[in-house]
Amino acid sequence: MKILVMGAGTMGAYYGARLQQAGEDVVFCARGATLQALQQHGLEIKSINGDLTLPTVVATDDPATHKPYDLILFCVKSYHTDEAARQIAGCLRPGGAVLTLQNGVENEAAIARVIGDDAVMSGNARVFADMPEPARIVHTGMGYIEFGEIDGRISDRAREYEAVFKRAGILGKLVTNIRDLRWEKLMSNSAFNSITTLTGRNLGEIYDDPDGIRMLRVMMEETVAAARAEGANIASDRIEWLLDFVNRNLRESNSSTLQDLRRGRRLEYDAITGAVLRAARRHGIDVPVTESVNALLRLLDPAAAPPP
Amino acid sequence: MKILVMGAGAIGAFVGGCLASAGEEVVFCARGENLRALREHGLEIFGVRPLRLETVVATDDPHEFAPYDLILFAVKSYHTAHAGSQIVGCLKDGGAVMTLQNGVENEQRLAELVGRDAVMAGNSRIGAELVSPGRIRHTSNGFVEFGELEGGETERAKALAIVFERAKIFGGIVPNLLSARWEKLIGNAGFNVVAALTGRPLGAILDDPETARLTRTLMTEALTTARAAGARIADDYIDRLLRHGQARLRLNRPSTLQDATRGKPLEFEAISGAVMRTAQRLGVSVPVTVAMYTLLKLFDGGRASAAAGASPTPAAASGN
Repeated sequence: MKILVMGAGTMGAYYGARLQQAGEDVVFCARGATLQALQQHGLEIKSINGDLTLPTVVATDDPATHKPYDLILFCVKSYHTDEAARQIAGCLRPGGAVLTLQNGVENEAAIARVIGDDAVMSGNARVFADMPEPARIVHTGMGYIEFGEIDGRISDRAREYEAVFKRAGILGKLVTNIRDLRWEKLMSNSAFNSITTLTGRNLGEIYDDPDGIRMLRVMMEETVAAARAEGANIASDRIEWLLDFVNRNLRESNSSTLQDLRRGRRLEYDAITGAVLRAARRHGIDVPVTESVNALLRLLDPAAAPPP
Repeated sequence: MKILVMGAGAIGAFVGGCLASAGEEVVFCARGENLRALREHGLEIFGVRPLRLETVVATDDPHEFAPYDLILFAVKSYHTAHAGSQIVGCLKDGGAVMTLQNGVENEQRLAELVGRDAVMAGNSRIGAELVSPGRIRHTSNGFVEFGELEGGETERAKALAIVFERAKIFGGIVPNLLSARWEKLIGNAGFNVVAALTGRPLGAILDDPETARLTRTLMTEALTTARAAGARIADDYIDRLLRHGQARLRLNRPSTLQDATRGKPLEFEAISGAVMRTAQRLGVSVPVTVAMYTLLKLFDGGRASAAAGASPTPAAASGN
């Protein structure tokens, strides 16, 4: 299957590498230092699921040069969605899909505005990894994709992608309720990414303070209220389930947003707390803590800081 | 008048410097680098109201020069218990310990150590930064308003007014100390907290509609708490405070931000913590203050354990 990885950051590079390893025809779209590193040295993955070196990968800054694709994994930061969506317009084979694995719940609609509703699918990237330098990935946890059609039906193309992901060892699940799961992931991101970023602490350290757990819970409750108002179906025990899961499995982890802050990169808060806030406001729901955290992240964002 | 400045940080050094320059007999109690700098090079204030004192009396033991007519208590709030025990027995009969610290809880802690009659409190209305040991940058305002815990213009308050007036740092005797202390805390609960968590001066915070709104929310929660605690605060107080910040304090970096930048412990307990504890005691809901308290505590604790070598920067990371 011919697959474009749009955005070869941490998760795009990891999934793309596993797909290429499994024999798929993968093209990486990247820019700047990452593009250069991919073209010159390929990809190197240190992984809990086995290390992987790909000395040669196909990398470009223009998706059109290798089109058409059967699948486009859309992995750019959310603040680059509009620009990246315009770049991939016309690059899909008829019947193919753009699968967004980005944070947030607003990218589906943004991509659909450019390439049409029928071409868009949605998924949660469940992977813990870091990119200490361009094209070098350190994979520390999970590493799969749960995905589906936005309207929930099990389509033929979804079945095909399922088989491809399965061969590559990155299949989480093909699901019929991806919208709900996207909100659940957002609930997790809104709490975990924000608090790790604003405090510089990892998840275990936040858990060790009862006030820290309380704040995680408050932020998740605010997201659930917004999600339900948007029509998502979130089971009442999801917050406690997630808090417990993270405590048992991910205490040493922090978040991509904290990694971005430490490297002086732009922060992806708007797709996360910003999205919760916008949904809440549409329905007149009060989310005071999410709103406050979003305001802090706005000013903390290295991209918002005035030149020194 | 013989005055001990307990804690020669930005506020203590500025106030003590002005008093010494006006002819009062001032002793600075400091520690470490700051003590050494004061002894060897005196005190230098530059900025709005420059002042150079070639020699000052400095010690790390208040007893060395006791007794004092007045002790200006200007240590960080998390040092109150320790510094308070150091000054026990250092006051002349009828003398006063005046806390100039942030928060509304230090008065009570000092009263337990030196007796309630000895305790006065004041708001330092001084923009100042300790740029290096013994060197202070004075950025705005420059006065102290103070009063008795029970209110009223006592003889010692009037005597202090004259002394402060001579040193050009007199901001008035406040008739209702509880209200005045809460007014200051309302400002700190907004400005200091948002500045510390974003790393930005007040102008940047108030220019952004979202952080300006957050600042107002925090101040409103503090004001509601203050009123529940019996403070009388005018309805337009927050509006005036925000306008003042926007017009006059744009480059101001509140003390909590200075501490965050320098890797010093943050005074979050005396600020957000005080609002939160009072609110909880009185049944007032302050959700955003609680969230900010939690963030500051986690942030502060992380730096403390990193400094102690207990918790290296986490290497593991997430793709969430």
